[in-house]
Amino acid sequence: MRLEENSSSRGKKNLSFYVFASLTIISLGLLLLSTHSFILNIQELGLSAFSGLRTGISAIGSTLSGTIGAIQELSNLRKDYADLQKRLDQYEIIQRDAAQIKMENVHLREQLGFSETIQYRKVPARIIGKDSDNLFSAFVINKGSKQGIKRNMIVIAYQSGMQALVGKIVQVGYTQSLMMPIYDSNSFISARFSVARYEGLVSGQGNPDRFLLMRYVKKRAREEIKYGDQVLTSGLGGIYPSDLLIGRVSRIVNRDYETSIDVELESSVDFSRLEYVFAVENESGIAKND
Amino acid sequence: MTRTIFWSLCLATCAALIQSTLLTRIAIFHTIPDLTLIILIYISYCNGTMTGQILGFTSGLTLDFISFAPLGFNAFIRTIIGAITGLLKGTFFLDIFILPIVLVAIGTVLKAILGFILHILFAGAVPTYDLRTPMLWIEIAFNSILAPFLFALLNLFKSVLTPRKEN
Repeated sequence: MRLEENSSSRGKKNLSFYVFASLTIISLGLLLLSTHSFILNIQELGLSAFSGLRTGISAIGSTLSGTIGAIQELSNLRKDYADLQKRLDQYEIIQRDAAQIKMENVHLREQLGFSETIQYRKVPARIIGKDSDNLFSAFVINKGSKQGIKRNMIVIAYQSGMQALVGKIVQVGYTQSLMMPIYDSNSFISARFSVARYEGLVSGQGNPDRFLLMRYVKKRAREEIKYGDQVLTSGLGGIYPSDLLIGRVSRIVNRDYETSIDVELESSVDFSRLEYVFAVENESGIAKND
Repeated sequence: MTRTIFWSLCLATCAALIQSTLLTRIAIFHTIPDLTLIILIYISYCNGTMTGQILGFTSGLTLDFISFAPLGFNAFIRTIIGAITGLLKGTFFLDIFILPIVLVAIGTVLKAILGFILHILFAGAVPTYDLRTPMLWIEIAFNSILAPFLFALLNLFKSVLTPRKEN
């Protein structure tokens, strides 16, 4: 009797070990394949499957916080309304001037022979969540392949009246997508200074509170770069179109033993306030549906 | 066991979705608690190795699907955490305060160690915790603080989350 119990217990332990070994090997195999991007489509299928649930939970959270905020908002609205009325009058005057300037601009463009060669298709989206794993900094947006989002589309945002680069689409589900922000440690953007025109490579530090690092900037650029200078995308590399604002110079690191200088940038986007973004595809068809 | 794994997986999936939506609003230093890990540790400790490792694998795979993590990253880490926690089943009396904190704190540290091993094995293709930033320490604190509450909550569903004969 005891012998039978012993052998049954040993059998259970063996089975448990075999299952453990199989699961570990399977997960390592999956990891091996996915880091080489062989099975990303399976992952995107999974993202699509959970899209609905995540949207639901996000909506509940938004509704709750919205209801609480609405009470306070109501009292502010009355005051804002009066202010806005005044500003509207001012804007009407500005609009008349702007229409005149626009007309003048069109005429001048015609004379100079310029044409708008690059057309962008923009898909507006809302950020509904962030990565569930602290090690990864992806954002979840509420648009997917159904709305025309494709992998490698770039993502921009308007903040404080400026248009700036936020990141790029890395994974597309049916109604949701994952966006990698520019501060992600896997993000590399070819960039140049708006005034000095020197080029470099901007990479993230994995944390929105830390600076973006622009590397491989030629040493002779040191004399021409100033604090607060804007850094834009250079358009090299094919993913990011040119002249999109990335950030401003906050520190210049010049080491004697290095052949280039490092420049620390403050991102133009405040990621803690980011709610709405635009996924952008240019006509050259850089974004791929691979 | 199938029933236990099914309901545990449902719970873990809900927790993962809550993590990526609601909990991001209470993040400190961009760090959120890992509810799925706490659930995995509770289920594994109550049910043993087999349930722990299977739940670890399935919940890890679910997390990989909904996050930017490469497929297999969380599955690998959580399979091992589930199996190791399961080995401890019945070793200590599961009180309402100390053991949940200790188990979850050790589980979070183990998660970081396994992540570091994968980071080395895959030549940096997967990220690891940077010990100079507060992320890991905040996650350990967050998980440890939440552990007694979540364990107490899960205890209410013990009839569903443990095999019938053990109820």
